[in-house]
Amino acid sequence: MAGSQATERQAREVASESRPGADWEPVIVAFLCNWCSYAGADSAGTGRMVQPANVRIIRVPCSGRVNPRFIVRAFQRGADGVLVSGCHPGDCHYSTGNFYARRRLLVLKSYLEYLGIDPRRFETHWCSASEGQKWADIVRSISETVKALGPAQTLAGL
Amino acid sequence: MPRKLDVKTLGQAQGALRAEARRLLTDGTVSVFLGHEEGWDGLPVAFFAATPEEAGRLVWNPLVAFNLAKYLLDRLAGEEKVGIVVNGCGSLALDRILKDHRFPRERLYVVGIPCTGLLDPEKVLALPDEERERVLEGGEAGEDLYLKRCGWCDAPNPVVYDTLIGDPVPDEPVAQEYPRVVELEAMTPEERFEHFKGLYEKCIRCFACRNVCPACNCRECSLDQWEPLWMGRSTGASEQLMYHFIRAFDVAGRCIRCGECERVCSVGIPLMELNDKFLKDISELFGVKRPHVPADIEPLGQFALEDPDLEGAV
Ligand code: SF4
Ligand code: SF4
Ligand code: FES
Repeated sequence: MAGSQATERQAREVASESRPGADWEPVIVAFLCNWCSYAGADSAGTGRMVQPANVRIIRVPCSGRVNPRFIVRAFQRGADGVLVSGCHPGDCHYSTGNFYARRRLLVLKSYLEYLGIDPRRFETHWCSASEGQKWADIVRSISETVKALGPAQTLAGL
Repeated sequence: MPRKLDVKTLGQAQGALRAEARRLLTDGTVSVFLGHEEGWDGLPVAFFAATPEEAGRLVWNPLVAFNLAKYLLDRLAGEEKVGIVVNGCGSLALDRILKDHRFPRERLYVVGIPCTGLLDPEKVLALPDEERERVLEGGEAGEDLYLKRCGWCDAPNPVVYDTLIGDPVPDEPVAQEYPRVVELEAMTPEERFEHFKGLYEKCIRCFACRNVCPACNCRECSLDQWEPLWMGRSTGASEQLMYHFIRAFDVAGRCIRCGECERVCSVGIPLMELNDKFLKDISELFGVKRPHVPADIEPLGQFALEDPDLEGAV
């Protein structure tokens, strides 16, 4: 239970951080696969590339680990944007995890739009460990896009 | 198009079904036979016949709407063989359970009956007495009395069976269309958000939709777990959003389009709006022509190298 209370608290923090205001900044949750994209983000950091601080990274073993529920949960608890990034198709550490993920997330993306969530709030990318620059660009572009869209419509508290 | 009820054949089928169940129970092929009997209000309810005499209580009529396959999960323990009766959509539900490896085929004896259409029990029950008699005994049912799923049914003949009672009915392909989804897709995202919010707010979380669904057949439902707590115990649109997302996504690609979840909903929520979106997308994205028919590997349990890519926004 302690675990889930901690998650609840974190979620509330995320939600309260994203209240609109003059200096409102979007909160973007990113699920990164351990083997490529997380390392890519790391190399962007060690390379001291400038990137906005809106992205909260959650490390997962593989993009195939990303249960679509994670994404809906992030939106439900107040995220303004969600990002999933994994190894390039063909490069998955577990060979095919990202191919399964691709099918699932394709369906999910269309479904989120159907539920009324702006599809620009959810992005999927393939980013390798050596693509620090690409990661920094992804972060910049999604931060700008989501900021322009404003706070996500939310059901939190209803 | 809804099929044309054939009361005479239905009556004969009921006789043949009782005889077949009696035979199976007498010669020991099965130790129980799962079918329907008449409930207190005249509507059929699930019934496990355990003796040859009890086989005489089985009914087969235009109201045997709900699929029985899920009751098999109550008989998982043990080695006994179970008999079961299915029509077309009932056999899809059974095939769902079989393809999900939730019940061994060797422990089943399946009696199939080709289907000439079924009526919505609630609607028939609501009719004035004489009219109901005309419908049930004369077979004169207006199109609106049929189950919704009869309108898109493309499997009136059982797909799994050991014995078939009666002759197969004509079985033409029916294009799977999703008109309500198309309508919703034409709305703006904001309108859809409000629309679905109304849906979540209305839900009283009775779980009837999950419980009736042949594709919702896990041993332990993640919605019942405490850790992780996917759906909070407080009621409200937010938690119900999670509930409905999980229910619909977890059956995406496995839903047999029986429409039972929508039919049993206590508060009349049009749940097929959610299920049909997945069916439509899966058929369009991955070229699956009959996404509601159980397959050995379901669309979301596989991939193709040439699947559309989704890198980047929209
Ligand atoms: S229509 Fe509803 S009850 Fe039937 S399989 Fe699909 S989700 Fe389950
Ligand atoms: S049957 Fe209806 S009210 Fe009950 S949980 Fe499902 S959607 Fe909600
Ligand atoms: S390990 Fe990176 S996507 Fe599978």
